[in-house]
Amino acid sequence: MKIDLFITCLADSYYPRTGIAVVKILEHLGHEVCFPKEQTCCGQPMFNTGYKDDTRNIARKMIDVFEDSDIVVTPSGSCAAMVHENFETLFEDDPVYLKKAKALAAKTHEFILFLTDVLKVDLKELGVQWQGKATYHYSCHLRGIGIEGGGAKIVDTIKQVDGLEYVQIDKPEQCCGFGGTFAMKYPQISGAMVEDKVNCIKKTEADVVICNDAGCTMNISGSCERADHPVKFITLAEIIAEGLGLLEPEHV
Amino acid sequence: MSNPRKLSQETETVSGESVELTMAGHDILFPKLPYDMKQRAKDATHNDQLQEFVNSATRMRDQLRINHCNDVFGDNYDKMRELAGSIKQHTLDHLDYYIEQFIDNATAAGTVVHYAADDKEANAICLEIAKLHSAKLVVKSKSMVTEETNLVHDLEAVGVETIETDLGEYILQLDNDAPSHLVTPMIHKNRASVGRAFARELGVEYTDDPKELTQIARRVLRDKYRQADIGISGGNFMIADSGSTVICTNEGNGRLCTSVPPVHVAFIGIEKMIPSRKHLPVFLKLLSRSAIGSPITVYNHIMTGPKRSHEADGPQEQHIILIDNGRTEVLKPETREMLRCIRCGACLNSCPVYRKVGGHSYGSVYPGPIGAILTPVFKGLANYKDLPYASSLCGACYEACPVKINIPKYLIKLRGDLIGGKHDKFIDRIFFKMWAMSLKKAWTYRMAGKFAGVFLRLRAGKSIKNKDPYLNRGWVKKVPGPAAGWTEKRDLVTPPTKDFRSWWDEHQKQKGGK
Amino acid sequence: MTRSTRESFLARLHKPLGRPSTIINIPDPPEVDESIARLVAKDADLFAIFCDKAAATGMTIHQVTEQTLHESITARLREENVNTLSVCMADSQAMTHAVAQAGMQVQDWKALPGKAGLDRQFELDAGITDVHAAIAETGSLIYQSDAEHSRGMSLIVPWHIAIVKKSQIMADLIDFWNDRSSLDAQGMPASIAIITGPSKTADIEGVLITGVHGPAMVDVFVVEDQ
Ligand code: SF4
Repeated sequence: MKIDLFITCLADSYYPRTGIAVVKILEHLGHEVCFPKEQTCCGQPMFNTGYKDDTRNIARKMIDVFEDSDIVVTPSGSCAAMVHENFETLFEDDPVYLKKAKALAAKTHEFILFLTDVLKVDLKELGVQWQGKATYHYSCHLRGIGIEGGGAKIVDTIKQVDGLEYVQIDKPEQCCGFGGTFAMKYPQISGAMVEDKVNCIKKTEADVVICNDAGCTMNISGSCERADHPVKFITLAEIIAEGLGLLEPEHV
Repeated sequence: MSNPRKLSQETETVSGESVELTMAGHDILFPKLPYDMKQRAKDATHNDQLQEFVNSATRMRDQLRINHCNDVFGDNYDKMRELAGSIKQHTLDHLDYYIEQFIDNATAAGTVVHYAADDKEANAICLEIAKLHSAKLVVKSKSMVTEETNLVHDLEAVGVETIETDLGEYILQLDNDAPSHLVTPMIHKNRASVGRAFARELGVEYTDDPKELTQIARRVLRDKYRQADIGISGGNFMIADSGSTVICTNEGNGRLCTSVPPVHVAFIGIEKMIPSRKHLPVFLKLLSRSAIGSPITVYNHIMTGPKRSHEADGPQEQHIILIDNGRTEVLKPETREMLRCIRCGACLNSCPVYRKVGGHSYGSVYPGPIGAILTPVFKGLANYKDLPYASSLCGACYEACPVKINIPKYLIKLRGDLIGGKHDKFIDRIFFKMWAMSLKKAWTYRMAGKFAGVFLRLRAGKSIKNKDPYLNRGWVKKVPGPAAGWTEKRDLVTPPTKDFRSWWDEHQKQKGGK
Repeated sequence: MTRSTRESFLARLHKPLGRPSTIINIPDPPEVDESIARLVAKDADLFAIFCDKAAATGMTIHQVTEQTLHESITARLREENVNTLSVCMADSQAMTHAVAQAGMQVQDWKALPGKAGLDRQFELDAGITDVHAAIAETGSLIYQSDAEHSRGMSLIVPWHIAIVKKSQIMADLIDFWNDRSSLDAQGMPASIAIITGPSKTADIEGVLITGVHGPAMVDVFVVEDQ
């Protein structure tokens, strides 16, 4: 099938390897992947800060870019949730775009859930092999696409990876304190939250943290760096791509 | 007990040192306005005791809720919350109808119904009742709305001794402290501070054994129930089709306050209505499970009028004061959903921010996520500008709420209202406007990204170790401007030299070349 | 200050609700969908579930027959060295007799009016009551006030002894309220208490303690009557 990629702004410029992995996996599975180059951002940073009018313009653009797509896949649960939960609320007074917003939400999927729920892929059957001791960070915005309380469903998928030693983290459902502007406006509170998260990660003794949302990764990895805790952050997409031999393992 | 609440007190941290808490009593819940949250929040994150207790107690209760609710409701948990939410929403949508029905039925059962537009009127009504009965002693069960009206203060000001009987509230009252949680009001205090307060105020020998402390309180309070002229309660629910009031407590103090003294006065916010008795089980099934993960509160007392003539005990008079105090403001369509709240405290327990800052940081009677959206509407958004932003929007509260109040949605709405009212900082506005503008075209977006990337990579210097152009990220220790807060607590990652778009172009070329 | 009246108070509500006066015809409220809200089926083993759930709340459960009821209660009273108690049942004669026979002082809670009667309840060691219903779902006792049922006897006494007939056990909280929903305000008892366990608190550092204000002990004698 033809799949259009929404790569998200953070993944595009900060974590390009995630997008690379997604493309390689989907092509490996025999699908045609397109990247509409006019795309920018879903507008979540403005929306969450309260700049509704500015968000509306960005959302309109995003809707236009993907208007003709059959399926839109994005590696970020957070951006998928933005489209699913919030786009509609922007166009309550604009019936034309309201309809388009709903249509976009209906065809937008988070990558991992797209793999498991739509393509019905089982990582074990697919032959994904990856060595390492890893834990998983549940990103809160998955709540917006129906994955609640610590993301047990994603953990199940992770456990399908052959060779991966999974360690459960404490308080999996507790937010890492990112929250966009929140981290800048309330560094004390946000800092206390991310310190809590880093301590939980330390306790797992994992070498790798699987984190699929770029915002959380920026926050937690930045805090690990500050705390001098050497741990590697990676997305499940990258693990799958490495585990299928589509990506060279990362060399430091 | 008529001494004013103190202005400062000592508390001991887990690590043993004494820290001065500058907040106490009345000022905690009624700070100077406009309220600035940051100082209290910062103090809280440095308070070991608070970090340890609030963090672990809320987390434990949250886990109990999740386990228990999943156990009993299974896949229906969400549907159950939907059901409860829809019953509440229906009631609020027709609140005038149900209030009238309630008034008629309660009056028919012999209850005297009073109407209070605000806190002052509510207390004035209560004071009149007290005067009429020449009341000297009042026993009171836990009620958030009486915190709103500051009732205890007003009663004591006219010489009516007023005793909080909920153990936690009693301790707070003795120690001139204020509640910091909707359900477990003294969640921020340790046993040693209780022991000290008891020794000081009750003249008993110091002990910090919770069981002994509870026994001491029991002895003191049992006498008070017997002597009290009036019992005051809040109300968890009002039932329109029978004119009944329901209060739910685990300790039994609520039932004692409403059964033993000759006069019962209930302070109830108008939003506590449910249509009929057959709806009550839905809420009884959810309230305690959401609050502490137990199937039901120990005592659910459903009262319909005062004692009947043929009964031997029970209050001879029952008064219900229906209270607005800002609720009709919230009842507007755009915020009505907030009034569904049944004050279970689940959103507080699940909230990672509450866990870190504690209840007093919210500077109002209602703390936590629900407080962060209710208080600005009750007390004016301009007075509580910080609250809507003091959230990472993680959505844990919405997931926990038994009546499905979409708290994150309202936090964002209030942020928007602040911006609409030009309450945002000029620099923030410019920053977001420019960012939003750059996102309108792919090329401006990319240019802005590249520019930021170059700037950050320059500051990152030698921290860039990886050679792969898609992975050669580095770290910045300090950034200026609106993002300075970020690097106060963590390093800022820099983008690698190449973005996904570059790879995509190469990838297309390769494929074309194949 | 001019005082709010019913009219002025309701006018405050009409504004945000967007209407000039109280709405007269409203849609039916949402039904309580039992496929979602019911937690115990009517045909479940209610006796077993009740005993289980009630015990989990910290109440002590005794399974007895009509023949062994009096004997079991007096034995239990002796065990706890009870001196004075009251009996508060629809028909309290037989129980009063049995307990008095066993040498305990039975006080008539109705004999003293008003405050004096209440004061007496504060001095008792225990109170024996029947119940109006019991709920298997939560292990709850339902106790209503009326001429024969004092509020204090399940509340003020340090030890509440409740007698539940097996036939009184209802499956789910829903069942009790479905039974009542036809009553008008006057038909409702002045006080209905749903009691689930001894009085509890966890206010001091989350440590669970029983017997804060209400009874520290609740014993339930479930009588096999079918
Ligand atoms: S908002 Fe919801 S979760 Fe929070 S206290 Fe109210 S009912 Fe409970």
